[in-house]
Amino acid sequence: MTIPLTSTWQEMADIAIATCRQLGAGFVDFRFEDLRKQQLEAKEVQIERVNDFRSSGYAIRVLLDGRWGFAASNEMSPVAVANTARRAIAIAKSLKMVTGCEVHIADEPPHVGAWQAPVEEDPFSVDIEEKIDHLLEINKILLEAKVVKHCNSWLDQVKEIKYLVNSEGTETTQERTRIQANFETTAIGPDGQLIRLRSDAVPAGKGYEYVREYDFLKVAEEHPHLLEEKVAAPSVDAGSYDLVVGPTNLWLTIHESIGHATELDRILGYEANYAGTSFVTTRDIGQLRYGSDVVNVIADRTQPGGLSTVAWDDDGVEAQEWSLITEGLLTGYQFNREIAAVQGFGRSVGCAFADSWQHIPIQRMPNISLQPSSDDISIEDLISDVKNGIYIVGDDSWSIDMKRLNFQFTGQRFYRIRNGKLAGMVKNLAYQGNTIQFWNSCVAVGGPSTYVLCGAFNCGKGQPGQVAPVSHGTPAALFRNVNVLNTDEE
Amino acid sequence: MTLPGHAPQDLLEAALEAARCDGAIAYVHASSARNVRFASNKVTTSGEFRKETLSVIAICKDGTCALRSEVSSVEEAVELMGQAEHIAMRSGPPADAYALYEGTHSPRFEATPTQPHSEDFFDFASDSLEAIFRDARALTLDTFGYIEDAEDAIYLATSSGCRDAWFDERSHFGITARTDQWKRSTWSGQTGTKFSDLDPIKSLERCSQLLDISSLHQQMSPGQYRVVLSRSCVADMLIWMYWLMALRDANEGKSVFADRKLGGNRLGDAICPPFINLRSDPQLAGLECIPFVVTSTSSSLESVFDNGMPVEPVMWIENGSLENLVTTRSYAAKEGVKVTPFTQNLILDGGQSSSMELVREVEHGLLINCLWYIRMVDPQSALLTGLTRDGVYVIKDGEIVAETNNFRFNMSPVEMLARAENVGESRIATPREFDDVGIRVQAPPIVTNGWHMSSVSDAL
Repeated sequence: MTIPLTSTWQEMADIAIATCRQLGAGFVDFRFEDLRKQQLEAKEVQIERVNDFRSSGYAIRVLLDGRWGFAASNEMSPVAVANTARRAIAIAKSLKMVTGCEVHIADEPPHVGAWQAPVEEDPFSVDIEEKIDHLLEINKILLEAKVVKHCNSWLDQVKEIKYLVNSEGTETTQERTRIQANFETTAIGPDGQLIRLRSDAVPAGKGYEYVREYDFLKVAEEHPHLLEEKVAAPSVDAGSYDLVVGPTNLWLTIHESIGHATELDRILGYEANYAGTSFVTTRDIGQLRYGSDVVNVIADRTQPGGLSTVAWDDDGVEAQEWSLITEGLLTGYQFNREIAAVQGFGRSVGCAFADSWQHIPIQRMPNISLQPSSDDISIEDLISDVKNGIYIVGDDSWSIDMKRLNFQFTGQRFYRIRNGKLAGMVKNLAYQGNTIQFWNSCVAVGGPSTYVLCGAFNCGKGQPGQVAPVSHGTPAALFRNVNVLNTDEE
Repeated sequence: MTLPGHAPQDLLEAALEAARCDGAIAYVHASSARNVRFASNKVTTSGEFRKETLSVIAICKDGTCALRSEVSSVEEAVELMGQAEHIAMRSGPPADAYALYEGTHSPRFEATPTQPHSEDFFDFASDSLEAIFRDARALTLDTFGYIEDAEDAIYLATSSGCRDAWFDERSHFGITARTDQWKRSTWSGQTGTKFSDLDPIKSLERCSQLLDISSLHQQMSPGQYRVVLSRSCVADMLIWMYWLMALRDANEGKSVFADRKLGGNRLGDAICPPFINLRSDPQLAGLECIPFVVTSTSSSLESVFDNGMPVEPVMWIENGSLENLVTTRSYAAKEGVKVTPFTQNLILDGGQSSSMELVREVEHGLLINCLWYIRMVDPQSALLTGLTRDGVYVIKDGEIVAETNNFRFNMSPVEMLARAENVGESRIATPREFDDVGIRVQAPPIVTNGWHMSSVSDAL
């Protein structure tokens, strides 16, 4: 399906905004989105899935006498756009009768422009056979190893185009691409235990160059040795350990225990019926000792290759970078235009995002990254500072409570550390903790050489539910005295 | 709902007519939904959308491909099928390759769905929320929640003769009520077909009853507990278990239904007490769901080659014995077993008692209102981790004596059933976490023992 962009959609945007303004709206925005997703998966020597989905449509959002109204459609005609605009107004009017405070939004200067995230090779221009052959080749290499009983490899690609116009004069067009490729193997241990191991590949705001650069085939050749080691590994003894957490695991802990906890809409209760609230309060800026003084966390929507990186958010706010935690002290929150106005902040930091044309933009997470040490501290350096500990690589299970305090995470690979050296793998491990205690137990972070930009395609929030892509850059880090469970004993 | 501009049947027939490969499937999915969200006794967001998408699946001997897109003309539908074929011919033989299901022409295929009354929904929501906020303020409660009303229409056609359609309506209301300064919290939810089925004030009253249940707080420690789980808790745990119930996964050793000692699966094993009966039935009154397979994805739980196949009632667990696991036609043929496709509902049969009547049977234990953030730790044991939420109460000698703290739990839904001591009355349940995954659940409250509270959560 061809997308008549800009000229036609400018006409539709004009119709939407004019209709809504005539009917009394104070603020109006029109957002057209085209989203394409391709998902390929191979299981052992055959293809499991070849899916290619495309969705195009538009949304009209209004503020009428302090009430939001929102309507969306994929019916593409001037009459349909005008009708959808009238629906947005009607919805705002019908809810005007419900007592409550008025919605205001913080000011933002208008922005006009176009932006495309840098991509060297559009994944949708790569021949499907090449992608399929790549997945099957990975599986073929993996299956040559006796230890591998089953394997899956997959490749997900997304291209997102957004055209946003609002009644304040903003008109922006953005295109960004993201990709995630990975594989997982399964072995059966001598006692029948299922052992799974996924590679360390991370999703990225990149094109197909990511697949070419990563050398999946070499990783696949080395992978079975790790799987064998994991099969043979003893079960961990539960107890208190120092943990060296690698970036491919720590990103998820950052996401859950820092990312979500500092969402200001959550702090104010907007997610109380669903995703929860936060232990952080609106009085904690400059007061809350979130972590030790080696913990510095930056929020941004500007980091190259970041899954949350844009030029403007879905409120039309310019992408920014700001501090969340500085030397362990809470120094910032995440918020959008509406929440900025609620708190009397002069300007939004640009956290509005809608995952599709059919959903209203809500506050979503920017890229949130733990900053590395300026010293060139390696993972080996961190390990050398541990007498009795565990080194964790790769993410797996995760769960955290409604205020972002009590958490439990597992991982892909776990190595015992004894007297500053790695001492073989262990398995069946989860680490449990409390967010504030955990981050205050962080005694060292790795240097730039340990920093990896990790992330996820599918952070969930909101009702109706939305998913958002987000990146977390992090070095490795050392934490003291963390509670480790044996999951077999749970 | 009105399907814009063109009949879905025309799009489907055009797409199939254009197919040149070995087989083709096409389905139109038209959906519309409207919602209102609120927090701290104020409306926060609201909205509605309508959309219609066409999915086509091209089946070639060399491969399959599923494409989905919004199309606005027959020409675009034809173009989409051509693109799918082009990709399918180069994608490689699929793991689940099988003959397409040979179906018939259902009279439903010519039907049109009823028109939703969007304006009525927003009027209903507005009136309901005005009343809730007024009552909540009088009770010094802060309320947070969500109300939604939605319809789906699916039209399916296959080159093997299937023509069928299904129309679905669903509504949901959930409310969290917190006391002053958010010191205490509880939740109640409802699931219906139309928004007029919902009674939001009743949910607020239920919250108020739960908050009144005890004015005392008693701190409890981690450990193993006998628990009374609400229907909502049971529903969330059952949905997770259902996702593990593929025969292929069991035979590959990947799930709790694998026989770790002997290999193969646990079909035929007694896995829970004889009063446990778990089934699916797309025709069950009040829990109706789509009675034929529609999918654009193949996995251990479904296959594109099964599109159009009728979904029959099935017993998953009968009198405590594991009777069936989900199979696709290709895998069932490979294993020489009958086909039991994934159904979009689950029914755990029950007895007569309410939750509070079950409480009276417990000497020492906990009553749990909701579970949350439930994630897989180990699929081979189905060990899940998660939190209790919005109401955990201490039971002593059959009475609620205090409210207590939340916990992180580590527990398997299979263990939950295996250790069940009693089941209450089975009714339509509103899962707290997985209400939006498209599986309707009817479940009883359950008394089970050995529920592992791994650590205390200070979260409310």
